[in-house]
Amino acid sequence: MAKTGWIIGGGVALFIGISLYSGYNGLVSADENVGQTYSQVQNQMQRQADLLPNLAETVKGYASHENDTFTQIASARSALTAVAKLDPRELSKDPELQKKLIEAQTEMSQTMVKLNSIKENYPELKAAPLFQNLMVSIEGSTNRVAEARRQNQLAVQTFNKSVRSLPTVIYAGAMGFSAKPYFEAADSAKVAPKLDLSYKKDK
Amino acid sequence: MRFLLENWKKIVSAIVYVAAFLFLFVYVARAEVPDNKGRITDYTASLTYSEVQTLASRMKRNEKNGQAAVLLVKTLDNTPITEYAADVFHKWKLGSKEKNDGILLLIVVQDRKVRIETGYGTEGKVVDIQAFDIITKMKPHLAKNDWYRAIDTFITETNNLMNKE
Repeated sequence: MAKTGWIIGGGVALFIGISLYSGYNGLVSADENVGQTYSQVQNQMQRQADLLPNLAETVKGYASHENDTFTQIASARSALTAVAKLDPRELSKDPELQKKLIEAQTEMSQTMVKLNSIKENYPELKAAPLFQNLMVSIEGSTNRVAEARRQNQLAVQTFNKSVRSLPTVIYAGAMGFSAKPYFEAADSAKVAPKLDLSYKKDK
Repeated sequence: MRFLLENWKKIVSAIVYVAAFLFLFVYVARAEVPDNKGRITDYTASLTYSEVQTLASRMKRNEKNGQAAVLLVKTLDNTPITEYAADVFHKWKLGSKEKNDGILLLIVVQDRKVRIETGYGTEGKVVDIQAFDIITKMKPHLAKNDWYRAIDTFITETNNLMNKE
């Protein structure tokens, strides 16, 4: 009779052991994924920042006195670059750093608002192929940042779900895993250049 | 009480069926990525069989330059076209990982929207401008619902770009 007890006890211990093993690995993998998606967001933000010096130069060529605009462009560039240089793991855990990410997105939106408005006052700028190409590139880059953020949000949600569900929630804290913060930029912060990319029926 | 006890199996089945039905409703709400049916996938019956064959064989001849796919759907409801195109691109696994040479042309017929989606790691800025130029060239055909010509233009322009490199 004692033998049966041992076998059952052994079976339960084995079961728990395997759960812990795969649970831990699952959390590690989800955690890695979160880090990678943050890296991707940072990567796309850096590429966006790289477009801005050309943009400033082009605008200067046609609208040399629009100092507010140049200041805004410079501000966006430094905000984006600062976020791009962060450690993705720190970024994923620290709400203060995430606020910096949101701020960089907001700065970029404000830059777009400024550009969308001043180009109406400078028809030569608006018509300049160099400027138009830059706006197309920035629009593409804004889409890529948004897509990277979307993948990032999914990764964080997946991780948080694991950390909070049974049975992982029982031991996740002990293993050093806790739910990650996530902040979403306000819709007003998501402004892109105005481009006519949809097609309309001929009358 | 007696009723419940005697018929519990049927009640459980009924609950499971209703739950599955409701789940489907919620699940279908977001535009689903359809299956890839070859180089040209047309879910809108806009192209004739022979048009599809002609375009597909043009695409096949140029495949050494990169893997392109064309998808026509009716509507995306409210899903943003950028998200949908990205989902299709990932799900269909277009292009090779090393060269990142996949390119997707998405035409949403009823919504009157078009998008060219390329691999993530590409140079970015050059691709955006090229895509914009291609769509600009396609616009006159799209405005007239001449899908065949529009896609034909896409194939010609992407071939020109690939051959330049």
